[in-house]
Amino acid sequence: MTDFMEILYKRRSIRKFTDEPVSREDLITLLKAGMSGPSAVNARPWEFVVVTEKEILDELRSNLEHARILAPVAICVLGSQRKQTHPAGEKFWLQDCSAATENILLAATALGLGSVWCAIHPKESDEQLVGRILNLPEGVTPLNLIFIGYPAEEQEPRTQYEENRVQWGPFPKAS
Amino acid sequence: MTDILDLFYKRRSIRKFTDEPVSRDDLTTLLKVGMSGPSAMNTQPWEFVVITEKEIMDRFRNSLMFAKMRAPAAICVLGSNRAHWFRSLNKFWVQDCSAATENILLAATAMGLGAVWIGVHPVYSFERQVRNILNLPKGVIPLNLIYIGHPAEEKESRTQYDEKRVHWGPFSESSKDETIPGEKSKHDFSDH
Repeated sequence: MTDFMEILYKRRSIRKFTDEPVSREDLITLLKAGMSGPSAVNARPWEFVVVTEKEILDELRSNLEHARILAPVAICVLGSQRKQTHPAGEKFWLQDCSAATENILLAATALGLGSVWCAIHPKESDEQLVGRILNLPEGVTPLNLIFIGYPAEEQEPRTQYEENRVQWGPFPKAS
Repeated sequence: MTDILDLFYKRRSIRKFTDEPVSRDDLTTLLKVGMSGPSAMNTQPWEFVVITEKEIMDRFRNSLMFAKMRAPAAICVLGSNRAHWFRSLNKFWVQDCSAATENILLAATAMGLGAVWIGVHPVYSFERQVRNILNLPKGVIPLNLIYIGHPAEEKESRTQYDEKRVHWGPFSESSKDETIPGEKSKHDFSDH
């Protein structure tokens, strides 16, 4: 299982991609990884939009300041109140959908793809823009856009481990 | 390429552990993968408290409704802006710390350990209890407790892939209205 540990360090934000499209099979693999994530009370408060249409990707890129990434595909992770199976989703959807997102980024890395997480929530104006461009229904909130493709740049594996961010045992009582 | 999914499917919430402690080496590895996760503008808005002290684990068990399992160790992931003292805790800390948490859960699985994510934030009363038990300083918010140990239960690998939750391309007017009747009545407290 040490191969998987390498994936955890290998995952980097890749923002330059080749023209090569990502196969539907690979996209389903990514979604399978995403939906295998944990969720509070197993409420699974998520849905996913997969965008491969060039005109839609262009519209997203030109309207979203922090998503100017040229990539063959984007997955939009939606917090989904309408499909959650328990009201706990309302409190924990952000955490659950972020875990799902991380699974997608790691699975992409394992497949030799690059990816980058572009935040949308909680910026309301961006949420509305994406809502309009993707024609989102009621009961969902776009969390992010994950741009995916074959990488045209390389970044080294790394951890950003810092000892001073770790407290072993409880903090000492304030005197 | 289905074998790359194996580890994702294998990761389950484990709530029964043996007495065997988790080594400091293993805990450090988990922290290293936690801190290799992505964060908005690379702000790394996190700190981690590692608990192996029995009396602290007992206090969690006795005071937190959803933390009654017996485990040898816990990691508390904190949203933290203490490295950037001039800014308030940014609005992406929950997403970033959740990604770090998922890294820890997956690494634990890869290492043959079991783990479970116990939500604390945004339930104010849970945050307050954890804050008291761990003497948390100002400028940090506890996101969760991750209980970790050597598993004393086995759970099957699984996917929860549901093609009805996937939309290929933007929504059309007709695809907006789909609902799945009866799905909202399922309550699954134990099996995730």
